[in-house]
Amino acid sequence: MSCGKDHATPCSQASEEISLLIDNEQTSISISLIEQHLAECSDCCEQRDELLVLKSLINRACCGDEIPSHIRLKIETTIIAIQEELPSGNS
Amino acid sequence: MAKQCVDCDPVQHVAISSSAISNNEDVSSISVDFTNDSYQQYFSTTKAVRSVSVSQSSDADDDIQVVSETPEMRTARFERDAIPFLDQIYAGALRMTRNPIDAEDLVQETFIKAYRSFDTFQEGTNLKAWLYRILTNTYINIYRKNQRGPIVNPQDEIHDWEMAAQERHTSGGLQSAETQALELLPNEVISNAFAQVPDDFRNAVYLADVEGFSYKEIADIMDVPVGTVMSRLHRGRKALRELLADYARKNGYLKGDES
Repeated sequence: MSCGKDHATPCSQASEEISLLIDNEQTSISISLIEQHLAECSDCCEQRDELLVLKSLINRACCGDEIPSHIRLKIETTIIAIQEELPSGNS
Repeated sequence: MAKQCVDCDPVQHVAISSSAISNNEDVSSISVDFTNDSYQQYFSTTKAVRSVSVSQSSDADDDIQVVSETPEMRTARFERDAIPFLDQIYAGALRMTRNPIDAEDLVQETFIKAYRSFDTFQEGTNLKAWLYRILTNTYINIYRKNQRGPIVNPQDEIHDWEMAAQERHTSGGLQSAETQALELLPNEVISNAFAQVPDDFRNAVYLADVEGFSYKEIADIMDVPVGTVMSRLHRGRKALRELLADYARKNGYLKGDES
C-alpha cells in the first residue's frame, strides 16, 4: 500500500522497517533509506512517533512493581526446604 | 556414556539433551516446537554444549565443578543469580495474570521450578530470558492448558504491514493529535487498557517494550517463530493504541473533540 507519493521504499515496507529500527532490530534496508523515507512521508513519521510514545507509555505504566515481601520469604523458605531433599552431590 | 554422567540424575540427563529449561512436567509443553531452528540454535549454546563437553572432555574443570555442585552450592548460586530477578519476574507475572494473587502463585511456581532445574542452566547465557521462559510455560500449563496461542499465518503477517500503512494513510493526520493526547493519560488508564490487550499480544509487547528482549529472545521465550513475534507486537501495540485513543476521545483528552 502506498500513500500515493513516489517513494523509493513503499510505505508498507517502510512501516515494517520503522518498527524494526525502533525495536533495535536489524533492518533489511539501510537506515539512511528509512530516514529518507521518513523525510518524505509524514504518515510514516506519525507511525514512528506513535511507536515511540506507546513504548514510553507502556514503560511508564509498568514500572515499579515489587514482589510482596511475604511471597519473597515464602519462595526463599521453600527453596531451602527443597535443598534439603536434593541428593547431596558426590559426598 | 562417560563416568561423570553416572552422577547425573538420569531424568535430568534426558532433559539436558532435549530442553535446558525443566526436567519436570513442563517438558511436554516445552518440547512442542523442537524442530524450530531458532529454538535449536538457542539451546545449542546452552546446556546441550555442556552435556557434550562433560561426556567427552577429560579436563573440563568448569563442567565437573557444576556437575558435582552440592545442594548448598546450588542454593547459593541461585540466590546470587536468580533471586535478584524476583521483582522483575513478579512484574511480568502481574501483567500476564492481571491479578496479584495469581501472579504470586505463578512466581512461586516459576522460581521453584527454576531452582529444581538450575543445574541445567548454562552460566553466562541469559538468565532473565531463561526465567521468563519457565514463567511463560508455567503460565500456559496452569492457566491455559491446551490453549497455546495459534501461530500467525505468514500471509497474515505481511497483511499486517499493508493494513497498517493503508489505515494510516486514510486517517488524514488525525492520528498525530491523538498520539499527543495519549501522552497525557495517567498510568492507571494505560495499565487497564494494556490488561485488555489479548494475552499473546500483551505478553510480546511487555517482553519487548518493558524487558527490552530482542525478537529472537521473545521467540525463544514464547516458543514461536520470529515472524509471529513481530505480528504479535504489531497487533498488541495497535490494540493498545486503539483502546487508549478511544479512552482519550471519550474523556476529553483530545482537543476539539465533540463526543
